[in-house]
Amino acid sequence: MIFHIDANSFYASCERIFRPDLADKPIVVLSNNDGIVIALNDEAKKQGFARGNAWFKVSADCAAKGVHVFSSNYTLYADMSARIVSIYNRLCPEVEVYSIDECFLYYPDWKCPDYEGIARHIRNTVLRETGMPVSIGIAPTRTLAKICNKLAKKRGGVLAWNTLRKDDELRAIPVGDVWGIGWSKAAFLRRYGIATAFDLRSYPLDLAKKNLTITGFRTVQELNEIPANERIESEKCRNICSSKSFGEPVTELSELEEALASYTEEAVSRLRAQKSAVSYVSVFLMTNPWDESGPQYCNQLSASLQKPTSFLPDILGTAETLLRTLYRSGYRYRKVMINLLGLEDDIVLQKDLFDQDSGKQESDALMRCFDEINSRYGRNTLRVGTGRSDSRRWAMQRRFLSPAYTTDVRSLPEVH
Amino acid sequence: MATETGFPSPARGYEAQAINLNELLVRNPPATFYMRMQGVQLVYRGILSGDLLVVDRSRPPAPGCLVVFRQDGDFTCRELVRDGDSLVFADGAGNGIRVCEETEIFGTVTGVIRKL
Repeated sequence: MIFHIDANSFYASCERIFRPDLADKPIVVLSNNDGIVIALNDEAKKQGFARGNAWFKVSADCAAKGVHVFSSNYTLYADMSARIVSIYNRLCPEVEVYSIDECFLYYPDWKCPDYEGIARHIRNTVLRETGMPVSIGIAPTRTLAKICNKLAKKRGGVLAWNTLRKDDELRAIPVGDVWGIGWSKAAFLRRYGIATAFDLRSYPLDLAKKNLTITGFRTVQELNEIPANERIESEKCRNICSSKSFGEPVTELSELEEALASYTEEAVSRLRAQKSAVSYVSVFLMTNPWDESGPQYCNQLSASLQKPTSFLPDILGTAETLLRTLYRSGYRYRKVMINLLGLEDDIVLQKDLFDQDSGKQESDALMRCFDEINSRYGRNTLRVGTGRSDSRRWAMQRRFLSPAYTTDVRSLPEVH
Repeated sequence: MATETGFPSPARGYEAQAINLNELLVRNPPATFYMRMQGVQLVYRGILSGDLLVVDRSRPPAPGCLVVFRQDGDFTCRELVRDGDSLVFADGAGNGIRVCEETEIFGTVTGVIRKL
């Protein structure tokens, strides 16, 4: 059985946990450089704000309506995310981290299990230990688990597919809201009379195989409770995460570096495929909490890049520096993970007036060549050798940045 | 969340290990947060203004515990004491705040760190 868990308004909730004055207050979080609204809580949505609002257009309105504004604080979000992931790993032996605030948990198909009870326990534990509200969808496939989670948000936080009137629920869901079906695919499907999740589920599998893309075919399978093993991608991710649990525990830094390099390459190829640039990198390292014989270690570290980039050597160099700082010898590691955060469109990156990095075009050409060779001859044909890091910092506009409450001893919340 | 926990493996031999303060002070890393005490309300419990509090959100608060909770838009830390049938946040000077359903507890103080 598959649980899909995500945090409710993750970025806004992170801000609220450390601000006891903001309970029930509307909160919006801005993108890099305070450009647009990238996250907001229900209270702010009720005031009429939406994701994607340009900050310069809504700033006056936010002030008038008493909305609390934050620049994105990826140091805080990455730390809170790592805490939550480590709790999931303690409670479930198989965890797939899908994004900074989304995970899949896999449970065996027991005979008569109380999956909802397990889910409520997870939800209560995460809320008590971190203050983060999460909701959970339970289903035999990931696509259905995601659908259940979305419904769960308005129905008490935990929802199992088997308890629903399935056809009625699917009829009420527009096809574009199904995981992996973006607006362009939805427009295509509507031309064939497929308007809801119910229509898509009823589409015959043999026709789906013939007429849809492989991703579309898998989605039809998953709606029919047939699990697809391959990864399903959303059209455009706001953050990209790549990780794997090791089959055998890993102890050496060199092995971890090799694994991290391959996950980073995978994440950056997805980043480049969706034409985004990354401004913030987080690395997560963990032992196996289910291995009671060894000492435990779980830690996360993040850093901002000097400027948003999709250039693999810069990203990998940063990730490797983070890993070397995190690494402690004497532990049997189970998982290493990279998270690319603060994504923005690569094409709209503004040229910096004082930019000394005139090699951007050359590095773009180099990366296109790199991507081309790897897609033609297989991934890992070309690999990046050594990373490099640079101490020059990118001057990002972050006027509303909250303190790093959990990672900086000078910024701790005050108690009276 | 820079924390290491657990006991050293016996298989690792007899080399001397440096004392690990995380191991001593942190029982449950993902649930542990640090906060800064401001004010003299807890001097009677040996906590001075400016002290760093180790707060474990997973430790259930019991009478006698120092508990961080939300009050009037601030984090407040007081001793939880029994008062007849109910629980009260006391400050050692005879003032008490009754615990009710709306009380939002952040966590229980499990350690104090002070540099001299």
